[in-house]
Amino acid sequence: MNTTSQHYARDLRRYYRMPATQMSLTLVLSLLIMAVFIVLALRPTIVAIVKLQKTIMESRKTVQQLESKVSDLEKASSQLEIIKAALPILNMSITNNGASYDPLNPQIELLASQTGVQLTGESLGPTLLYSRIITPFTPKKDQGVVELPVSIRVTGNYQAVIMFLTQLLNMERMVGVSSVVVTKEAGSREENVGVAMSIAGNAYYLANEAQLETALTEQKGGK
Amino acid sequence: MAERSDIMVKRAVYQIAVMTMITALTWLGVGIYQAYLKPSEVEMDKTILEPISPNIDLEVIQKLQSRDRINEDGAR
Repeated sequence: MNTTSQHYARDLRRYYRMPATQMSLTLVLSLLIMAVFIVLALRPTIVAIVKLQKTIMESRKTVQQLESKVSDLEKASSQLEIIKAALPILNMSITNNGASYDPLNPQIELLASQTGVQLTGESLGPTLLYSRIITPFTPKKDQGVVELPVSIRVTGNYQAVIMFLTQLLNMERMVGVSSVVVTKEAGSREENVGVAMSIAGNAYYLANEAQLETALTEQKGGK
Repeated sequence: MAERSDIMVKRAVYQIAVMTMITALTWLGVGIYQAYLKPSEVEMDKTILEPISPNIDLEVIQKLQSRDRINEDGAR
């Protein structure tokens, strides 16, 4: 056995000295070693490099987006400083602590008495007054402007009801009017024509509309 | 002796070596392609990256400031 292997080794050395065999073996073994090298060493390294490059590219993009946002926030902050004094007025115009029936209703009544018209009807739409489960009025990013339907009916002379309407539109609490119907009051004398004005519109407040709708729908459903 | 040397330089051996090399290179290419397609490990909350508009309409604020406040004493 030992003699056979020695003989075989001697033969191999002799074959390897032949130029054709030498070239062939060098080429084949080089190719195989390169393949092994590619699979075991080169592939994981290149894949890791590609992953890192991709991560770096995405990180740069993220940094750019964040830098742009920081710049926008700085601009917004400087603008907020400018309008800081007007924020209470803004919060009164579009209330941020619920529908706030309380200041709205007395203000309409006061306006009616100050302009000399008789307030014969007033209704404000439904809203959520209080909940221990949901917090639609807590200031959050998902809040939006919610409409509170308002309908008012006043009677008086023409100038007075027009004055009432003008001042309602210019009231600190913002009220948008969508329809106005003026009708002549029955039985009014010619020299002092009495008219009735029906106003329909919306007041506005800040809330999470989705939460609010869910709560109001549940209440309507009797849950 | 001649047979052994023939084996050493046979075309099939070259073909196997070349095919192995091609397979290794293909696998390398597939690995790179997969690495490109795979989402990055850097993850951020999308809301943080959302752009915001820094412009406040000052004209609207001025209009709001000019609106009347209704008091019980009639002063506005």
